[in-house]
Amino acid sequence: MATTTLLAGLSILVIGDSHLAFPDHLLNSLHNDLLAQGAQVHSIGVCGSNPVDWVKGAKGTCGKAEKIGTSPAKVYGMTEGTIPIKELIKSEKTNLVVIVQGDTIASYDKPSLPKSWIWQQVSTLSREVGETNTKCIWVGPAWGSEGGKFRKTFARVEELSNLIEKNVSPCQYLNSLKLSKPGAWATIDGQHFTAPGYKLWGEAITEAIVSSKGLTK
Amino acid sequence: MITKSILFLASMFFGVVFATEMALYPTGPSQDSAFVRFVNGSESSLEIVASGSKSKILLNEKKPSSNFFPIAANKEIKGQFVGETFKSDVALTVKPGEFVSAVAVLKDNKLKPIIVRETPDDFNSLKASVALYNLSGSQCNVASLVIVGKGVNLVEKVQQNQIARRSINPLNISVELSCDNKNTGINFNLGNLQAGKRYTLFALPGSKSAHLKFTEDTLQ
Repeated sequence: MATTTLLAGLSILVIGDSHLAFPDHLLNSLHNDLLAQGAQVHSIGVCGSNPVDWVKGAKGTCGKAEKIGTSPAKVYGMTEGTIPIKELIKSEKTNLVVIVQGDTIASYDKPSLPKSWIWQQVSTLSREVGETNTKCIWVGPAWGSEGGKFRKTFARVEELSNLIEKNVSPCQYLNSLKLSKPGAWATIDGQHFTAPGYKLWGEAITEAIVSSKGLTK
Repeated sequence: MITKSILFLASMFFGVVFATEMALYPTGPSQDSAFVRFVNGSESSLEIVASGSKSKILLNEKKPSSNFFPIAANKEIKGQFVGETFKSDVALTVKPGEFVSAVAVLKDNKLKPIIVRETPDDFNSLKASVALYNLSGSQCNVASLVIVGKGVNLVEKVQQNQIARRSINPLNISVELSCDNKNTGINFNLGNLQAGKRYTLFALPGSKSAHLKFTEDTLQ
């Protein structure tokens, strides 16, 4: 992406699940793209984390990584966990929170979407951020590819995205399904993209943030 | 030299692939959440007492309903509504995704629990969600809620022991209970409804006529 100053002056906190928990995922691509637009950026990913895990803090199960500014990504142990979002916002004087969450609450391997549980998960975290009067963008799940060990399907991810979208207020919803065609970005397991896929997703998220009205000014 | 270069490139390539390979982790709970609440549908104070423990909650005019408690799905829970002169056992099982209300009503001079089940799919943080549970028996065979000052129905034609729920813009409204297509003069100010919140109005039997009780569907 071209370097600009469109996000200059913003302190952006990016939190999320496995899509952020490894350096060759969004942790580098999205983070560096936001940096290139002039923002201060702190990204934290905890593999397998659910939205509510970011309210009180919870142990991880499959990896955590973090990147601050231009420093190299720091990779932690498998059980390193989340940090409560209000603590992070307060300590970093965050202007904009970007939440990358969706695939860990989809129940891809179950016959139906656990709507009540998802409603609790999504509304609890978005309300928690809302109480700090910090602007936020919820980045929903991307298409991925059907099958794989997580048993992701296009129908389920679309159903999930629609449910999340209705419940993220006061955050704004960034619908990742509109950023590519189904299956367009190659995956390694149906759910996680190859490095080129994460590069494209990171660029598309950054472009959407830059062009979203009311969030960056 | 060429072989070494190929190996180096291969290790770089596979290194990237292996770095992103990760353990299988859950993408959701084993089953959806399940909730239960207890509601006093009578005209005097009651307590709900959990079976096998000393836990109890006072349900009175000021707070006629407990919060919705998350419980294990498909597992029976038991308790007892206890009033000054009446008692009633209650036992129920909640399925995954259900919000179940155990409502104690006085009928034929006996306290009786009515179990009401909802499996909502209208979750929306931009709307307020308001339900009418018509548990008023023959005092209001078919219940509707008319928005005062607007003359339009919030919900309509709710049969005995049935429910209707509607998502609306968050406003300050009052409603009037209509029974069998006749206005009753029984009004209730719902106050400032808030976006993302869920509410329930209970139409209940009374000593003289049906009455309304209102609660926010708060999760514990």
